[in-house]
Amino acid sequence: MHLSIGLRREGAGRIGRHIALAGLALIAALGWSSGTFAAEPAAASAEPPLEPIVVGTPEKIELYPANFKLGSTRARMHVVVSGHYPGGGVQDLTRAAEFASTNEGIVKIAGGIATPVANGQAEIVCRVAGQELKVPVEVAGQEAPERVSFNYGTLVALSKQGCNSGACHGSPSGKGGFRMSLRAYDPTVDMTTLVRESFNRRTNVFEPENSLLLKKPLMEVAHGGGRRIRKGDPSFGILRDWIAQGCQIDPPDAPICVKVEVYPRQRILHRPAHTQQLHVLAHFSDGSIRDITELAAFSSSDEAVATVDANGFVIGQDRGEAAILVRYLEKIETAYIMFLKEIPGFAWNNPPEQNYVDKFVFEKLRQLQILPSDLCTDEEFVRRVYLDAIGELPSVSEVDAFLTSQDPQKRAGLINVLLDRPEYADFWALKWSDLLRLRNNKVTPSGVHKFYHWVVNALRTNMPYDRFARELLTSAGSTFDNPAANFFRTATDTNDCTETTSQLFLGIRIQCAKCHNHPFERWTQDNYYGIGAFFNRVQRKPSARPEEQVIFVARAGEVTQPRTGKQMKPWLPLTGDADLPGEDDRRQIFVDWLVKADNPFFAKVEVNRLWGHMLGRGIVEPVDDFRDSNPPSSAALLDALAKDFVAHGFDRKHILRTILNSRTYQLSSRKNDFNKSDAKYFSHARTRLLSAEQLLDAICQVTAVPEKYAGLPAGTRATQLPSPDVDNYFLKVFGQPARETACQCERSSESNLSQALQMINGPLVHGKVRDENNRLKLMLKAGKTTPDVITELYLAAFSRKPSEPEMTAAANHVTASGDQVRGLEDVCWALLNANEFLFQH
Amino acid sequence: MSRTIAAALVIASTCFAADLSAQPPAISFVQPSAALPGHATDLVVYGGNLAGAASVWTTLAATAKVELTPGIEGNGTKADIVSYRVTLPAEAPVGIYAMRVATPGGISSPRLFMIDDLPTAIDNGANKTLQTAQLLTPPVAVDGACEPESYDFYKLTAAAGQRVSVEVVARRLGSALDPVIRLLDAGGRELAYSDDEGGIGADGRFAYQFVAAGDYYLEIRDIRYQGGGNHRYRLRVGDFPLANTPYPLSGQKGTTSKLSVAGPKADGMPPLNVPVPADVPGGRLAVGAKYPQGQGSAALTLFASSALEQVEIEPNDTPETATAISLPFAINGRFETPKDRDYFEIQAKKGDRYLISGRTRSMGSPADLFLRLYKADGALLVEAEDAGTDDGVINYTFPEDGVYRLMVEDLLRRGGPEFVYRIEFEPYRPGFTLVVDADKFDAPKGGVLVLKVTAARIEYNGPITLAVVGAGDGIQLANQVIPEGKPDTQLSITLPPGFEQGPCRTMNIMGTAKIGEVDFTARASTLTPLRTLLNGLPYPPAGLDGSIGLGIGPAFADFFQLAVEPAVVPFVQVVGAGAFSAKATKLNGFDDPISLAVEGLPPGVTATVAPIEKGKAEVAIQLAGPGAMAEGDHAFRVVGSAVFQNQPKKVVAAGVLRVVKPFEVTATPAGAVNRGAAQKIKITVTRKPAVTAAVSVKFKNLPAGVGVPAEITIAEGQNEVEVDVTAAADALVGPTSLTLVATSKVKEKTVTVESLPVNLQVAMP
Repeated sequence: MHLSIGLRREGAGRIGRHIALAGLALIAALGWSSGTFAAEPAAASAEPPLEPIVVGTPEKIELYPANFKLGSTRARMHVVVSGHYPGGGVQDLTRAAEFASTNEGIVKIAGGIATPVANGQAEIVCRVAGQELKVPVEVAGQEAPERVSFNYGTLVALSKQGCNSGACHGSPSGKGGFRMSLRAYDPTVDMTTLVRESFNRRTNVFEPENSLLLKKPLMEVAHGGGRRIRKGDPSFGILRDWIAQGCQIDPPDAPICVKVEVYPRQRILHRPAHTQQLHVLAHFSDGSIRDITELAAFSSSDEAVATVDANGFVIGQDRGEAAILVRYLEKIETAYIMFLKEIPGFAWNNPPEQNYVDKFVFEKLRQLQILPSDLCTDEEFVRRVYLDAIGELPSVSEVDAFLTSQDPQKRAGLINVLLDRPEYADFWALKWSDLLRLRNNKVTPSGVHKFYHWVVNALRTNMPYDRFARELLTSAGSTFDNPAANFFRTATDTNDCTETTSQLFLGIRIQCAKCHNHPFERWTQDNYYGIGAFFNRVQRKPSARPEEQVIFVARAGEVTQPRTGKQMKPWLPLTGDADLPGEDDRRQIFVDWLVKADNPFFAKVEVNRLWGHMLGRGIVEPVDDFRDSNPPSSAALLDALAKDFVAHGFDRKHILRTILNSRTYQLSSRKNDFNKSDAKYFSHARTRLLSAEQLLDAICQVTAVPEKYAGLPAGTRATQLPSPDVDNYFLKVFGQPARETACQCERSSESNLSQALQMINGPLVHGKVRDENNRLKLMLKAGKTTPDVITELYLAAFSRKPSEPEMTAAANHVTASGDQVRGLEDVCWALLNANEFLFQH
Repeated sequence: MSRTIAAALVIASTCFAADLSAQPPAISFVQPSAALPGHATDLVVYGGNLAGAASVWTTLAATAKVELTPGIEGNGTKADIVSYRVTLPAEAPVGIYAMRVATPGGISSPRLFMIDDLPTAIDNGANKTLQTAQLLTPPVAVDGACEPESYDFYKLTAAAGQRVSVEVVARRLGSALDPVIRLLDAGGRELAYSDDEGGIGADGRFAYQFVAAGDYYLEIRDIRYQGGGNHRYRLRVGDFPLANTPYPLSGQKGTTSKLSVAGPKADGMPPLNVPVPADVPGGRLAVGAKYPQGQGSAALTLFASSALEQVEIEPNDTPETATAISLPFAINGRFETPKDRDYFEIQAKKGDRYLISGRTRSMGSPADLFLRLYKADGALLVEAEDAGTDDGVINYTFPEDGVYRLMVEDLLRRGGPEFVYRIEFEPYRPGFTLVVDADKFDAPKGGVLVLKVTAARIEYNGPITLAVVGAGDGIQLANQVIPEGKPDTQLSITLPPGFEQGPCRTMNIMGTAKIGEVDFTARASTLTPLRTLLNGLPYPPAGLDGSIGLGIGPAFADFFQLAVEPAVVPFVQVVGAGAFSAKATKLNGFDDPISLAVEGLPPGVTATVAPIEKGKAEVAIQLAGPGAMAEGDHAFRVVGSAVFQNQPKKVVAAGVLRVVKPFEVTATPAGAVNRGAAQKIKITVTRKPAVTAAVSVKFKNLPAGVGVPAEITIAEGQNEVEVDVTAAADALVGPTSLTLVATSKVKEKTVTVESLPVNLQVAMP
C-alpha cells in the first residue's frame, strides 16, 4: 500500500494504473466506496405497454363538452368521457365508451369524434359502464364549404407535422432550399414562401394533390424529412383544401384566436386509471369555438411519468406529475396530470412536521406513496448545514461542540448562528456574483471588487430581495460610485437587459423570442421587445476615469420590433402593455410591477433558487427556467414559500431558516425501498459533488494548508473570490463558471476525468497532503498519536469520528507503511478522495 | 503661485558642484504629506537624483516660505532625500498643492502635497492585522502606504456619542492607491464603508457617530489589493465637515464672497466670507471649511471669476418660474432635491451665438449636468449632456429675437446640498485649444528642447503663432507657427547660454492668432500628461495645468568628431581638381547622418559635398576649380552638422588645399659615371590623377663631356624609364648637376615641367 502511495507522489501530475488501483483500495479499506464520483441516479425510465382499461363501477359518468355546436363543414368535436368513482377517483373512459348519433343525417360520430352532416339538431349518445348520457349537438353552416384559414388552418397543419420546427424548415437557413418561419411566427413570410417561391411549384391550385407541399411529406417525391403526413390525416385535408381554394391569405377582418382551453386542466389518476384523452378548444374573436385537438401540438414535461401522442392521448408511465403542454400557434396551455399507484407494503409513517415545508412535501410524498428517509444524524447535519449555509466545513472544534451539545434545539440554534456569520454573505455573494457576471472583462478589474463588495454587503445586511432587485434594475450613475450600476455594464444593450432581467428575476429564458416567437413557450417576439422597452433608454458613457462608466437613462427612445417595424409599448408579462408617456425612468414601473406581492414570478424564482441551493434541486429545475412545460414538482410548496417570502418582506434569511429547519432538509441521504427512485420530490437528501470553491476550501480546511490566490491577501478562501480571474486550474476543472452568462447552468456540476486526476494525484492535493505544516504534521510535532491524528482527520473531513473498523484499517495501514508520517499522509489522501468527503450528503 | 528660492540656489551651486548628477530629479513622495498652517513644517522629499535640489517651485501662495531645512547635515546633497521647511501663515487654506524641485541635472515633475490643519502621524508599518492596529488619537492625519495584498489597521478609542469624520486623501494626491476605508467594531463587523464617491472620485470618506464607547478599527486597503511605494495615502480622522464645494461655486475677483459649505455632512457649518483676490493663478482658490469648534477643515475650491456672478432664485422648477437673466452672465445654482430642475429665462437676439458651459465635477460637485434649451413655446431646441471630463456644453445660435429658456438638471436626477453647479454664457468665438505632450522638459545648458504642440481647432483653420512665456529672456524659437490647416508643430526652443543649471524654471506656451479682427490667445494645456503622472487624477489642483517645468542640465556632450584626410589635399594645376575624405568618429551611440559643408576654399574652387550617412564613417569630397592656379597652399575647413537627442552640433575639421603641377619628373643615377664609360639613370614621372599621356623628357644644360639620349619618351601609362648617361674621357671629374625638362599633353594642353637639379658624379675610372 505504501509503495503505491509513494508512486503516486513521485508521479504527481500523472496517473497510473497502479496508483489508481492502490489508492482506491485504500479508500475501500477505510470503509467507503471507490473514488468514482456518483451523481444522483436519474429516475428509471420505463415504457410499459398500454394496459387495458379497467372500467369498474363509476358512480357517474360525465361527458365533455356537455353540448356543442358544429358550425362549419370542417368542424369536428371530440367527446371525452370521464367516470367518477367512489372515494373521489376519476378515470378517462373515452376509449371504453360506445358512441352513437340520434340522427346520422345531422351528425355522425366515430372514435369519439363527431362530424357534421347537415344543418339541424341531434344528440350524441354515450354508453359506458352500464350508464348512458346524451350530448345535444347543433349543426350549422353546412350550406357551403368552409374556407380554410391560412393562419389557423394551413400554418397550424404545417406546425402540427413539425414542418416549421427548428430541426426542419423552421431553422434559420431552412432545409432543402425551403425555409419557413419557426413555428409560423411570421405568416407573411410563410405565405410568400409557400406560394411564390420555387416558381410556384410548392402549391398547384389546379391539381392540389400534385403540389410539392403535399407530395413531399407524403414521400411521393423524395423528402429528407421522410413521411410526415398521410392522406387520412386532418392536416392533409386542410393543406389540400387550402390549395384548392386558391392559397388564400386570411382577410384582414378574419377572426383571430384569443384563447385556447384544454380539458381536463388538472387530473389525478389512480392506477389502474392511467390514460387520459385531452380535449382542446380554441376560442376566436368572433365568439366561435373550434375543437382543435387534432391540430394542436402536445408535449410532456416528463416522459418518464407520462407520454402524449399527436392526438392528445396521455399515457401514464410511472408515479408522479407531468405537465402536458398544448400549443396552437403562439397560444399555449397546460394540463397537469398526476399518476398515482398503490405500492405494495407502503404505509405512511407520519413523520413529524417541523414547519409548512414538511406539510407540503410530505403531502405530496404520501400521495405518491413515497416514504421519506429518516432524519439525518447530527454528524451529517452539522457537515451539511455548514456547507449549505456558509460554504465551508465545520472546524473540528465546531463539530465537537455541536455533537456534544445536549440542547434539544441545537440544530435550530446552529442554523441561526450560521446565517449570521460573515461567511454566509461571502458564500451567497459567490452565487450571485456568478449570475451578475462579475469578471474583469465585463466590469473591469476595479469594477469587480467594487461590485463584489456591493453584493457581499447586500447579503451581509440581509437586504430585502425586492430592494436588491430594485437597486440593480434601477441603478444609475458611476459604476464605481454606485457599483450596482454594473448590472447595466454587464448587460451591454437592451436585448441583454431584457434577457438577463427575465432570467434572473422572472425565471424566464426569453432569448429565443428575440428572433421569433418562443418555440416552446408563450413568449412572443412582441413580448420580448415589449420588455425591452423598459430598458432601451439605458445609456452608457465613459467618464474621466479610464475604467469607469456612467449609466444613465435617456429622456426618450422607443423600441422597434425588427420584424414588424412596429414601435413597441412597454409590456409586462401577464399584465400587458403599459402606457408610459413622458421622461420618467420606465425601469421604476417595471420594478414596481416586479416586486408586487402578487407577481407570479419574482418571489417564486428566488425562493426556488434558495431551495435549489439548499436541497440540490429546485422545486422548478433548472432553478431559473420557469415555464409551462417545466412545472414545479410541488406547486403548493412553491406557492407557500413565495407567500411566506413576501409576507416577511422578501427576507431571504427567513426562507433559508425555514428550509433549513424543516425535516425535509434534514432527511438522510440514505434511501429506503419506497423512495429509491425518487429524484424530484425531496424524499431524501440529494447527494451532490461539492462546488469547486467548496471543495477547494474543504481541502484547505482538512489539511490546514490555505490556498494562495494571486493578487488577493493571504487567507482568502475560494468562496471569497470576487471573480474567476485568479485563474485557478483546480477550480476550473471542478466547474467554476467563466461568468459569461446570467444562467445558473453555466456552473457545471458534471464530474469528469480531470477531476479524478486532480484528486488522485494532482499537484494541489499532493502538495497539501505533503506540506510540512499541515494538520497532521503539526499534530505529530505536538506529540499526538496516530489514533489522535486519524480521529481529527475524520472530524475535519467528515465531521464524525472514525468507526472502529475504520480506525483499525487506518491505523494498520500506518503501521504497515513503516513510516508514520507517510502512512498518515496516505490516510489523509484517502479521506480526501472518499465520496463522503467529495459529496454533500 | 510659483516661487523660486533664489537664495538657496547660491548654496546649491557652490556647495554641491562635485555631486551633480546629469539626470533630472524625480520625487517619489513627500512626508509628511502636509504642511501645517501657522507653523514651520519640514517636508521631506524622497526620490532620485535629488542632489543639489535646492530650488523648489510650489503652487503655494506668496505668503508661504519654503527653504532647505537648516540644521540637517548634508541636506540637499543626497540623491534620495532632501528636506524643505515650509512656513505657512495661520490663515493658509487647507487644500492640495504641488511642488517641483530642480537640480543641476534638470527639473522634476510635480508632486502633490497638502496644507492640512490636522497634525500628522506616520504609519508605523506594523499595523497589518486587527491585532496590531496602530493607535490613533484624533484629530490626526496618518501618512501611510498600502502594501500589495495587505491592509493597514488603525485603532480608535471612542466615547459614546462621539462623532468622527474619516477621509482618505490618496488619488487626490496623485497616488496610485484606489482606497477602500472601513470602520469595524472590535469583533471585526463592518460599521461603515466608503469606496468611491461622486465629487471626490476614487477617495473615500464617511462620518460616524459611535453609539457605544469602546475600541474601533479603521481598515484601509486598495480596492484591488494592489500596493507599493506609490500607493500612498493620507488618512484624516477628526471632526471636520465632509464637504465638496462652496455654494455658490464661484466668486467674483476683487470681491468678498459669502459662501455656504455644500456636502453630504456639512450641517451646522456657518457661512464663509472669502475675499477673492483680483489675481488668482489658475482661476481657482483654495478655501478651508471648519466647524466653529471643529478639529480640522474640509478642503474646498472656489472658482474665481471675472464675470458677474448670479445665483438662481428658487422656485424656478418650471418654465413659468424661470429665473430671468441677461446675457452674457454666469449663474450659480444647485439641485436641492432629487428631480430638481432649474429654469432660466434668456432674452436673445437673432444670430447671437453663445457657448453655454457648465462647471461641476471639476470643482468637486457630483452633479452630472444635463442642459436643454427651449423656445418660449416649450419646443426643445438643443440639449447637451456631458461626456468624459466635460461638464456639459451647448454651442447655439439663436434663430430669432425672443425669449428662450435653459433647463438644467442632473443627468441622473439626483439632488442634495452638494449638487451645485455654475453655468457660464459667453459669446461664441472661433479659436482653438492647445495641448503639450509633457509636463516638463529638461534641456542641456545652452541646448535645444523640442516639444510637440497640438491644436484642436474650433472653426478656425489659419496659422497659430506660439510663444514661450515665463521662462526668461533670450529664448529663440523655431517652428513656432502651426501652419494653416495643420494640427501641430514641433516647437524648437533654443536656450540662451545664460540659463544656468539649478533654478526651477517654468514656462507657458501661448498661442495667438488673428481671427477676423480679433486677437485670440490660448494657453497650452498639460492636463493629459499631468493625469498620467498623477495616476489618472481627472482634475489636478489649481495652478498646475499649463505650467511646464523647464530643467537645465549640463551642456550636451560631443557626439562626433571630424577630420580631413589627407590633411593636405592636392589640387592639380591645369586639371583643376582635387579630392579628399571627410572622416567622422561617432560617439555615445550617435549614428545619425552628418551633413557637411566645405568652407574657405580659394576663389573659384568648389566642393561636391554629400553627408556622412547613417552607419558610415566617411564620405569622399571632390574639389573643382580653375586650372591656372598658382602653386601654393590654401587653408580650408569642413563643417559637420548633426542633431542628436534634439541637440544640434557643429564640428569643424581643418584642411590645406595645395595647388600642384599635373606631374613631376625626377632622375636617379645608378651611381657615379666614370670617364669614358656609361651609367644607368632612371627617370621617373610622378603623375597627378588624370594625367596619363606619354611624357617626352629632355636634359637641359648638360655639363661638358656628359651625354644622354636626345629624346626620351615615357610611354602612356608608364611612369619611369632607364637610359644611359655617358661621360667623355675628358669629362670634368667631380660633381655635376643635370636638369630634366618633361613635356606632355594634359587636357589637350602641352605642359612642360622641369625637375629639380639631379646630382651626378663624374669619376675617374
